[in-house]
Amino acid sequence: MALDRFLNRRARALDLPGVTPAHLLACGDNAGGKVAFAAMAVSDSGRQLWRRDLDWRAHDVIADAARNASAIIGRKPGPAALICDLETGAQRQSLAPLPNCTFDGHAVFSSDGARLYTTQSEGKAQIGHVAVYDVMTGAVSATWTSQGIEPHELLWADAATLVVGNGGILDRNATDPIESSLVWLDAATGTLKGKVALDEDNETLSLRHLVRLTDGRIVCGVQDQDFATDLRPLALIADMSGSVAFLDLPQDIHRRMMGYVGSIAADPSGSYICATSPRGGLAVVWTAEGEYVDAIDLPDTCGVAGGPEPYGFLLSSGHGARLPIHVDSVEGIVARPEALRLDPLQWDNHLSLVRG
Amino acid sequence: MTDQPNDKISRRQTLAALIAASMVSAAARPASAAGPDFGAFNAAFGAKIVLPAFDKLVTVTDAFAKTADAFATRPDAAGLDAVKQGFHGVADAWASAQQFRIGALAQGQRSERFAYWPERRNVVDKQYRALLAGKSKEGLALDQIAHASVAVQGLPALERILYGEDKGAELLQGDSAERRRAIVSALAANLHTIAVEAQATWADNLKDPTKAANSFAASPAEGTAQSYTNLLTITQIVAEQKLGVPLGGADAANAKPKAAEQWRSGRSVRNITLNLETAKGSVLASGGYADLLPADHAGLRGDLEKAFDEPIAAAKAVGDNFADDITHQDKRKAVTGLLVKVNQLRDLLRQQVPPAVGITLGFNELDGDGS
Repeated sequence: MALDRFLNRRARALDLPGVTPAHLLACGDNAGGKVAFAAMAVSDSGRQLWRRDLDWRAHDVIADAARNASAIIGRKPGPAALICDLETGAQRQSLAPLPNCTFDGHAVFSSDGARLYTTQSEGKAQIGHVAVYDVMTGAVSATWTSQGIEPHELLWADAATLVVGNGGILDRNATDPIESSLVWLDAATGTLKGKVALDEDNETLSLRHLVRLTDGRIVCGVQDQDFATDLRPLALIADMSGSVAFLDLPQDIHRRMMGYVGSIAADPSGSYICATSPRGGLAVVWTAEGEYVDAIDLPDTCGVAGGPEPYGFLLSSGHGARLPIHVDSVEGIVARPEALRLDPLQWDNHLSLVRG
Repeated sequence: MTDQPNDKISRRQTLAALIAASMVSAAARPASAAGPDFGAFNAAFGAKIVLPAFDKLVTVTDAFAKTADAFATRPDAAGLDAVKQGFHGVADAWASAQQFRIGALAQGQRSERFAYWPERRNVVDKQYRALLAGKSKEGLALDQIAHASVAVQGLPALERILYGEDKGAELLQGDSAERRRAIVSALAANLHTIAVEAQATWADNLKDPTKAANSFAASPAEGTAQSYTNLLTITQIVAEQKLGVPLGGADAANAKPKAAEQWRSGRSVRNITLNLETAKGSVLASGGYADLLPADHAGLRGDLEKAFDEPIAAAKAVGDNFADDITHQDKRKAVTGLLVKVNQLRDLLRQQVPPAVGITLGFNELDGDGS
């Protein structure tokens, strides 16, 4: 008993306010009978550290741990984005989109924390932009074309290069071919440095979610606008030279994913890739070499972040589940029921790991 | 430490049970009351609501296949009329069954094979031309059709043959008449096979009490949540794909009449009406979701009646000229009015019913990552 009390006290001490969050998430809360939106920071033990209620739905919530900053990005069509204190969630700046544009849900900080790079779409034609904000003032410091339409996630390919997934979707309900691409842009000038666009066989694929492997290659999670007519790839590994390798899936798992990857992540060791499919209610894992490993069922799972340990991932679901999984080279995905945490909340599309 | 495989399986089973428990809304019921019996509900829902829809699909596809075969051997105008009538019977039964996607229709792409829609133009047209180009019965054996592109296995290809520019005349005359009749027979047989498989899958599931309770999911609660998600999905399809896309926004100049479902055979609004009537039955008929409503929610039942009746009446008022009507600024008002009513129904079904009946819905599977 004494030991229990000691451990409990120790756990509480670890979760004291002021502690850097372990994960950031967007969520919906049904407590009032109608869904309310919020962004939230949680500790390693899963405890809520802060919650910022929002009058719009957030999509990605990201951290710049070195400067104790976070950013909450509005879900497409996002009316706003916020720069906040990482430890408390207190608002520092509110960012407005470019004229006639909306945020597309994703952003990245610059390595020195001075700038925030966002994707935005303009008007009905969804003309893609990368808009760069000064984190201190909230002012727009630069804008470039995203070299495509309906840009979604962007991230650092290397210290001087951003990679952007131009989703290309104008109408979620249409099955006709779309113009999607991955583009590598010079982070100082926006100049196009490399591009991947798919051929006719894969003309209905939307290239949307990204993660970087340790060797700099980019893994892209895909959504197929016409998944019924074929089993097209749902993830690929590409690089700036234009090379593309598709990741295979067993046919039964592939069908279950219903043409839809919602999020993609790599574990901290760079050994494994995990993609979620909320429509299939499962997450799948490949090795970084692109070999399929295993799948695990979790209804409505979408959020996935690597870590905190090597070979580990954290999954979140719209039914309030947060589930750590571990990839074992022999057994595949290992998940412990006692590690499952259930909250009376609906975790939204993405969660991010705060790296100290 | 490495876990043993058996341990892993048991951990996953425990995990599934825990996750399933999370899908029951804790806020939905008082702590003292017993939770809803989702297993009993799923069994009754399957027997009273779902199975009859697939029974009907088996009956009409059987009749259609026989009509198509008779027409293939004795082609005449009366036979063509009978085939067209049979097509409408099958399309009606499909519109009354497509909502029930969980289980049988989700397996083996049965839903897409029966009625691939919305259509990607270049896929359907390309596959359809290839199908027509064959000779006699080449490539039309049952297992060959069953493995053809989903785009030409079912109703879309049949509609093109029966209601294309020639209105089916080339089934009676011209070089490709025999081939066309053979295709109609082959597709009719394929649809019957899919219907028989789907009906048998449901019937078998209902025979086993545990399977009937789980309703193709990991647990009774998950089964109810997933089948309720099917209801939300069909109302979403009606609003966004069957109405929103053809309307093309506020301006009639942007209307896309050929994006309407089955516009060639003039079935666009009829399908919507049948979808809504089926959805209503799945909520308010005996065995429907409203059976899960606690006694103190009688008002919600009344609200649901009204919320279904209004768009059903609005759909009936639109009439059969949907594709033409939406291109006229005045005539399309009835269609936009129908869309408003369907969206009001969706709000009620999404926001008020789940907490009242005690289920929580997925957040991510329903709406993608942005509009």
